[in-house]
Amino acid sequence: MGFALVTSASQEGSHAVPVTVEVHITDGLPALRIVGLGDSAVLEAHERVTSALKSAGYRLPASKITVNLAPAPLKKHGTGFDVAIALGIAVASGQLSPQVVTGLLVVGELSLDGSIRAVRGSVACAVLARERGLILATHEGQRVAALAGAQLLEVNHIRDFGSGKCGVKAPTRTARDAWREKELLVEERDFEDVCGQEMAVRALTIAAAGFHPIFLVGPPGTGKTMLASRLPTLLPPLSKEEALETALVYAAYEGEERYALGTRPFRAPHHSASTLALVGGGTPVRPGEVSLAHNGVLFLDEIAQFAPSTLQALRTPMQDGKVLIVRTQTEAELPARFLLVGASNPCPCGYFGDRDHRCTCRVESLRAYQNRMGGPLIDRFDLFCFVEKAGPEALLSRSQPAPSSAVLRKKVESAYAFRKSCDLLPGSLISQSLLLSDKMLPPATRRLAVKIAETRSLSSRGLVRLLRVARSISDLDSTYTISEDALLEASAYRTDWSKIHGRTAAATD
Amino acid sequence: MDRKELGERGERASAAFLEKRGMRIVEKNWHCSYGEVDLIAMDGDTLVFCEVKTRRTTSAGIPEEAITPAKQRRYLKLARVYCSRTHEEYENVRFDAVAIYAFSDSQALLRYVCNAFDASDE
Repeated sequence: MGFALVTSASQEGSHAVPVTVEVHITDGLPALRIVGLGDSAVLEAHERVTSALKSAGYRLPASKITVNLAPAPLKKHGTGFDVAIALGIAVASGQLSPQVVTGLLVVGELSLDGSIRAVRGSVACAVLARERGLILATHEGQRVAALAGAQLLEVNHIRDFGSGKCGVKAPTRTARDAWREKELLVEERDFEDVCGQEMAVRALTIAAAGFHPIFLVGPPGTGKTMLASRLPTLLPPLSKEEALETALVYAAYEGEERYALGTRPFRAPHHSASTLALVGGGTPVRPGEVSLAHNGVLFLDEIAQFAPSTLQALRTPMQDGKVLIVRTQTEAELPARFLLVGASNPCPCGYFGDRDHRCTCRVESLRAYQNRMGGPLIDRFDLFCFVEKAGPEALLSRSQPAPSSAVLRKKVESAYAFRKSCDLLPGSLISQSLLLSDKMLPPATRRLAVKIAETRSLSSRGLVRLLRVARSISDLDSTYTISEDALLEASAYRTDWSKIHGRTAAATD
Repeated sequence: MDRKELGERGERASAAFLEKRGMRIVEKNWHCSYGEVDLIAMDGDTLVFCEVKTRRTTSAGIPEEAITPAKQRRYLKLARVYCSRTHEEYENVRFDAVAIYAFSDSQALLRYVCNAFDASDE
């Protein structure tokens, strides 16, 4: 009696795969059957589609309607097929011309009155539409289509398809800039609120400039969390490519819509987080915190309280900038290039290394505390900063106002601009051969580096990391060669647990 | 005309329709403890179970829609019971439906659905 094909898409991890909705109408008792491994949300489309078609003035054919979602072996989730199924029925029963749906990628949930609702993951669909040369037909798709560079057919109601009320249009200019404007709105925190802590602020600026993992250690109440939560305000706005990457991660995740719109993510999971929550997993695959913090900041407060196995799971994503999640049924690769900020007390009582308080921990419990994180992970922090108590004068007199986030971000942006002009990668990613080349490392600096490495018995990885930090400091100064000053400053942020240990030992003697 | 009379008239009309199509009516309103089959007929060597549904209005849906999946499953069960009680072996078994929309006392629209459902839905 009738047959129709409509192209839709299913979300798989952070990308969308095309799904062909086939509709076949034959003689038989009136029934609507949806096959093709749909979950219960897909099967419930039955009720939404029938009601929506009737409300929109279409006739529901009193025959046997079979809907197949191809490829049939792929598991389908969610409500994004509703509109495609409804259109398929309208075309197969001759109420709409097949031309209406050719070249369209139809994604959307139906309301019972026939209006179309947006579904999550439409960014991934927009990318698919662009790759396949299709036009994305969805509701409120302006921003995602702009982000992905896809052509858009914006439809609000299913009856609009037949009436010619909606025309294909390239996203408007306002839509193209919408995600950028949104970014600027989210600045409720500012470095202006920070008193004292010049060294920590400087360390965070360097971390932001070169995307270096940074570790803040300090007694309770010195402002570690306050500092870390302001780090995103130092980072320049996401580029369009980065915004798209981040939006694609959030497409596989519910909630936190503003990050999907181009805000730098800031993720601060509680230390009770499981390994799966941190690296991602489940079916369908959901991104973990490392991916949700992609292109943004991952803040692990009280890092020593995290389960050691969970922390060790961070090592591969930190190294590769991505996670490959493999399950028996699926495999998903998610990006995970994040700026890691760890914060911790130096010991169980918290006052180890403090000027005014005496640490009451026994040496063994202190060792055990510090060993929880393990050398290999500690070694991956490029910057290490001891956050000291700010004096009461600094807090109350406010003689010198702290630099605002805007001022600091200007500096960071100048480092980004300098790198762009010289075609360099960020300090944490730059290739080792270029970093060690004569052009970048003059003889005087080279001699100093050898000396520092010897006196502080740095491993070769430690030395390279030191040079990477020095590279980012040079980026902030907009100089191509790494100066001795930059190297010396970098070495000031290479303290480690044992160094704090030495320092307190001296203080208590 | 009350509901019962309407139903009986519909079944008589359906039986006449099936006979006109060359089937032999075997049973009318055959029933057991599981329920009732409106018409049982032989179409060549095929045993046909036929459900008849007559409606005067479509406010609750067209008559076909009253033949719900639950009703279809009941028919499958009734067919098994019938076959076991008659002690006969049938070459084929088929389930048909007749939907009658009676828009006045003297006029009606009959729609016949051959092979309306089968055991795959069980």
